[in-house]
Amino acid sequence: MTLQSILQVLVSGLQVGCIYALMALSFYVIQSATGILNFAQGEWAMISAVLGVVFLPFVPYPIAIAAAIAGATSLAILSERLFIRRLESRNASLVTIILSLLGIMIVARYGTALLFGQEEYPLPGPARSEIIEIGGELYLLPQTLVIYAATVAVFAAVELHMRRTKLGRSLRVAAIDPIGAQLIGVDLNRVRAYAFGLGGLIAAVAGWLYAPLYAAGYMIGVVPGVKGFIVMVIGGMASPLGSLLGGITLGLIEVAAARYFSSLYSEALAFVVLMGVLFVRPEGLIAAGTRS
Amino acid sequence: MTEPMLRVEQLTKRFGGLLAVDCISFDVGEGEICAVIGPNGAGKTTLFNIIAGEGKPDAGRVRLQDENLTGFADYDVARRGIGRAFQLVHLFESMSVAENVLLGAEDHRQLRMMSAATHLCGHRRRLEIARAQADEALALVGINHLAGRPIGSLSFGQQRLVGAARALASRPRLLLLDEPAAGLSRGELEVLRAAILRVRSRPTSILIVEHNVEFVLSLSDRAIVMNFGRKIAEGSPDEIRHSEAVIEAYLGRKH
Amino acid sequence: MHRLLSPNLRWLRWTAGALLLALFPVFVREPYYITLAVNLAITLILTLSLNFVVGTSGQWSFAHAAFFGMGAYVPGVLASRFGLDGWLGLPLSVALTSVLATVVGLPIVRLRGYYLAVCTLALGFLAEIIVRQAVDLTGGGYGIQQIPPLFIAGYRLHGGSYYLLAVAALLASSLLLDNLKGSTLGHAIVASRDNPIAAASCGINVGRVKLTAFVISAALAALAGWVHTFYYLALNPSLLASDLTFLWYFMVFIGGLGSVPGVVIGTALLSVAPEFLGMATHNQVLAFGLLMLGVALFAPRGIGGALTGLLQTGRLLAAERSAK
Repeated sequence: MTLQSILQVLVSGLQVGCIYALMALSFYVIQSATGILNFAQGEWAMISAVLGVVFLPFVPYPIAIAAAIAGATSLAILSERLFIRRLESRNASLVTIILSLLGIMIVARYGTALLFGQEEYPLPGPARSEIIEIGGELYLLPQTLVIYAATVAVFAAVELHMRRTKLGRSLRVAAIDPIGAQLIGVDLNRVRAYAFGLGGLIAAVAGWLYAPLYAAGYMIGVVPGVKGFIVMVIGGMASPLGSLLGGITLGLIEVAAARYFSSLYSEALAFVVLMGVLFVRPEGLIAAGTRS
Repeated sequence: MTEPMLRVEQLTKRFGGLLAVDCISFDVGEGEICAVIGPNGAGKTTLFNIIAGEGKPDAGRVRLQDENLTGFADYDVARRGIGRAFQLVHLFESMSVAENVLLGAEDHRQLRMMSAATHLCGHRRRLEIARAQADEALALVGINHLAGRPIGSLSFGQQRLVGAARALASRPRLLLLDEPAAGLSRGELEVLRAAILRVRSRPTSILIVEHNVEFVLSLSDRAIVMNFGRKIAEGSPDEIRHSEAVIEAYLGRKH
Repeated sequence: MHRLLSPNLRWLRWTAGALLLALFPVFVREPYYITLAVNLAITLILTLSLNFVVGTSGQWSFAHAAFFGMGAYVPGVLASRFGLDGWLGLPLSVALTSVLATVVGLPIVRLRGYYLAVCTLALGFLAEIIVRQAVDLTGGGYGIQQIPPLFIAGYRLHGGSYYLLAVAALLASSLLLDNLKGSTLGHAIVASRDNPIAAASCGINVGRVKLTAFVISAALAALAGWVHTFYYLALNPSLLASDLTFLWYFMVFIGGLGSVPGVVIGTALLSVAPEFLGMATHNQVLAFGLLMLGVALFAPRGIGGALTGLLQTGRLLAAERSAK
């Protein structure tokens, strides 16, 4: 356990943790405003990365990012309009809704496989690719710094947004008391569409942070998606801070376990931790506005 | 003197700083109808819930004849002979009236998986016994004619009666009725009154929590009055009607 | 009630059904169709047990593939690595899976809604990871091949004869679930789903009943796994893929949650159609997802609901006609 290895674990763990935290945030925004756990979030991240690969050969980098993120976000909003809104208006049962959410996830994933193919392609990050050296002990990829910065920015923006702006506050109000919110004139349909859009946006951003580290392909949304909602559930649903802390914690634990124990089982950690948390405190993790 | 059917001794329950039930003691005799009345927030429902096993008391005891039931789980209390009909009725929406009542009659103490999977090992016999008990309960409450109906097609008063029949199907020694008269029309109240009297004559002891003071006092043998978690009066319906403490509690004359 | 459905003729219906199914390999010999039929039987055990746990007992189980996989791997590993006879592997596989389901289920049944779903989802993912990583035992990503087959009196079970075994397993499972429906335990399971408070007032220990239903469905999934193992005589970790669980859910939902005939028809259609249409697996999944969404929007009661609707309309028409 040299200093170098500890630092490396910290850097990697934080990096992975930030991605988990962002994904968890994207789940959180939707879950807290509407009570819906949208399993498809990982797929919006994936689609944003895949769109990036599609656009990059044709347009400059910044436009590619913007277009890809916009595209993924639009799909997220579209899914709400086409399916969730209709189901909610018919008072569909919880079973129907959960299975529909799964359906959307499957369609997004395998639809991309159909349209894009099953290959994985590299996606370059926004920063240069030279490795940064710090103090002779620490080696960083610029992408890592991008991830840190983006995570802080997104979390700060969302937090401010939900406190200061009218639209953001309507999200919070709907989370705390849906019926009361309606009474004061909040349109739950709009709030839901907005929550899906915002959640999709956050996931799309996370996709651009994640894919440059690995690759872009139809299956890359699975892991961030699953880990994202695990972190949200573990971190607690009282505030976005829970997602941030939960994500970072899980990221650090995973990387540390992989480095010092066994890289094979570190993948399983997230699930073990989740099950442990749910076993021990299932009541404590239920937020206001959860449908159960 | 014979042992009372239900004996509640110094029952106490706190919710945070609030003393919802404050050292309540009373008895219900065999074949007796006892009413619990009191203004809103008096703690009647909490008292009821504790007796039925929904929530443990902080102090005190609940005894059914010779058995100590304090702190038992709700299903355990039901198994030992206390039946309960709810104010919000709580029927099984996907079943018919007869099926609802049958569930009350069936013996759920053991899982009996083998018997369930194969329909052997006494399955048919047990089902027949349960069906007979269920029919009895339907007759006692006077709703045989509703047996095949789905729950959704019943009026509120009828649903209440189904809830009572289901509670009676297990032949409980004590029946808890939770605001049975709430929301009933005059005609339905008469049907309910007749049913309650028939049930008492089985004999079954009955404990009723009720807001409709006139209705319940006209039925009961004894009543206790609660206010702010305490018992402020106990006695025959006449005594209660004329009790100063009771009138004050309801009309708040002091204030 | 239809005469055909009367309780007295129940024995007749089951025996007739069993005979009909048993005759299939007499007329159809090609291995392709036999395999299709065996797969259908296995999938039916899975979807019927899923329909039971989700529809009848009102609980989520996204760990269904994990239980199926465990039911497949335990006897396969024991037979291949330790020489344990496949027949003995059956009670072991069902028992071990039931134990796992009990252990996992004990705290789980207290959870509601999303939390139960998420927890079983986690278990499902976890199971696949563990199987992939425990290479020494399970062969990891490569799985296990050349598992010794089942024998009856010296005769090797394969092809048409194996089909009979698969059908026997399916019939046993269906009969069990059907019997359960009309039993006290079955009533308690439905009551616990409909209204746990009311169920408790009937003396039902809701937690224990829900756990029992969960374990029964896991045990049936394990049975399906055992049948799978000794037909294909091979194991691989994709048997535990969570995507599989989703597919079964889609089949159950499209067939109509809670409707046994619906689920049977839905499963049959969705298992067989992609084969005949020659769809690649990925496109199958996509098609299922789209179909699922369509059904959710336009026919949430599924095929079973449509059938019931038709029956009711038919009865109304018949009643009107006879009234004239």
